[in-house]
Amino acid sequence: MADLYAAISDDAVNRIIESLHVQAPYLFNYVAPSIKLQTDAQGNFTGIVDNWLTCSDVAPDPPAGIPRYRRIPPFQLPGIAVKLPCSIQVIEVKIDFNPSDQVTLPAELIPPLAEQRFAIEAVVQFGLACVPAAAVAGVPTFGGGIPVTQFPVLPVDSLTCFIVQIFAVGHLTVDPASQQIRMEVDGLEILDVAPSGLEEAIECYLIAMLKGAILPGLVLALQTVPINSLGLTAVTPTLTAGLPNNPAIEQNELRVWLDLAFA
Amino acid sequence: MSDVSFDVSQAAFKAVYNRVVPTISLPFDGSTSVGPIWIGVEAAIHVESAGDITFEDSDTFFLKELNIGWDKLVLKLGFNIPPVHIGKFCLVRMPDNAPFLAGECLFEFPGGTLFGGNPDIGPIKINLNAIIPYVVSQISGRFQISLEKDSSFLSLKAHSQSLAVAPIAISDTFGKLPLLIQAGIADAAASWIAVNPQAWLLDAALGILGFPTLGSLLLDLLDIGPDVQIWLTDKLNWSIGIQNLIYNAILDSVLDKTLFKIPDPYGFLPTINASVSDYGGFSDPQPPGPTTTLAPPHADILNPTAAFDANTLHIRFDLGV
Repeated sequence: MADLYAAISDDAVNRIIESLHVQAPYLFNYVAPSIKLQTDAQGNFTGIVDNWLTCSDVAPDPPAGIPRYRRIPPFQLPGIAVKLPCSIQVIEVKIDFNPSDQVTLPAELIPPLAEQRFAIEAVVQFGLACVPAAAVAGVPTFGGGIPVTQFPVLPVDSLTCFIVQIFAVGHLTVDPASQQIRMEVDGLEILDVAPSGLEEAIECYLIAMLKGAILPGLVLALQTVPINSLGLTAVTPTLTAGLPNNPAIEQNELRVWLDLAFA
Repeated sequence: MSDVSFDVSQAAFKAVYNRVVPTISLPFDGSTSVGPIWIGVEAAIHVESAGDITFEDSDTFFLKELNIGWDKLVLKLGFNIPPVHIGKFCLVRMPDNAPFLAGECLFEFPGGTLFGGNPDIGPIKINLNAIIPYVVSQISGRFQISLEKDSSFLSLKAHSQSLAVAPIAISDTFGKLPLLIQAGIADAAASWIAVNPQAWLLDAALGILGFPTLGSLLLDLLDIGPDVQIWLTDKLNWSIGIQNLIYNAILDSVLDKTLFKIPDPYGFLPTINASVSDYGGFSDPQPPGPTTTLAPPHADILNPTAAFDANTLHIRFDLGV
């Protein structure tokens, strides 16, 4: 018998995510801001300030002193002399632990959700700056003759927006040596991107990014979270051996069984 | 189904309890008079650990054995010996037919009184630390758990419902106890003789009382009998009432113990010390400097419960999100 068992329901995880949208919107709204040119009363250029452009307003207002956006670097395209602002907003994220009752999987991911699997549905809104014609015809100027190349990013007032709906299914893996718990993606589907070749290419890139860069660095602290939650100190938790699945994704819960070594 | 569930095994619960139950040294003392004997104890104990814990239904657990460590055990004795009055008598008398001083007493024993103090001997202290390893103390108790909210934690506490201290036992397998008692009594007798100006009367007085030495008189008054262990445990348990002394000494220390502390509000992320330039769209008030602290997102804990079944403590709660 394990010393400690901990479980959290997918419903609770989803409500936590919703709460984080309100309490910590900077976790979901990534912006490479544009700039606004500042002038004095005579119209002379005096400086620049950030212009945090997004496709969707962040609402409701976050708690006092909490930011809405996390800064990301602007991107650059070949042939355009200035970097471009953009935004990536995670509008909605929903997670579903087997058996599936929170996420309706697309046919491409072969529902129903298999045993010991999780599903994620994310709605992501991208905003990209439209490059004005002047920016590709010579070196445009702003603010009374300042070349655009002098600015860190293209000054614009709005973004061109589009929404992508992403589904993914996956499972948890445990490294036997380090006991590190990671998420592994079994399948990913982006809805309604045409032509199909473009969709496949984007999905391929996303899976490669997830498997090659993002997920390897994402270690789930399922051993330490229960310990910290109960206020225990000087305890070394290890996953209880000999169980068919540990951690387990079952009955709409993420479950973990731990043995504890008290110092 | 609750949002969050924790199950804690009996073994893990015991390990957690054993972390919070040990105490510092707890001194106590007590005494009583039994006929001509005044007997007392000076002792100190500490709570070491829970020997065995059994979960009961609902919200109580039974602590079958609380392990006690003895830090000090000193037996104190005092003797009120009945006063012995010795009258005058002639030690050396001239014969009646002597040519001079016939029949006269040449050297008269002046008489006197012994053991007129209160107590006459003592209190003497007999250090019994050498037998501490053989003192068996058995303490059991029933405890009730509850979840209690304070400003920043939801604490699971164990409250003492009942505490039972059994009479102590002494298993002196090496036979140190008789020697300790005898040596202590002998030292006390010698000390009394050394400081008492009337001690030169002692042999006469002891002759009257029928004892060869003061030590043998004191031992007789103690009425130790053939088994010193039985005598000592009887005196400690039933004369002095050492169970009550132990009970009172440890009660406050084991009364309320916090076993688990769940942060409430429950933070989902750590506090972030952020560079303001890495973020935008701050809600008023705007950060005054180049860095700021982002308070962790959190949720209140709702509907918390804690209950035992046969061998598991179940803690459940919902999150106020």
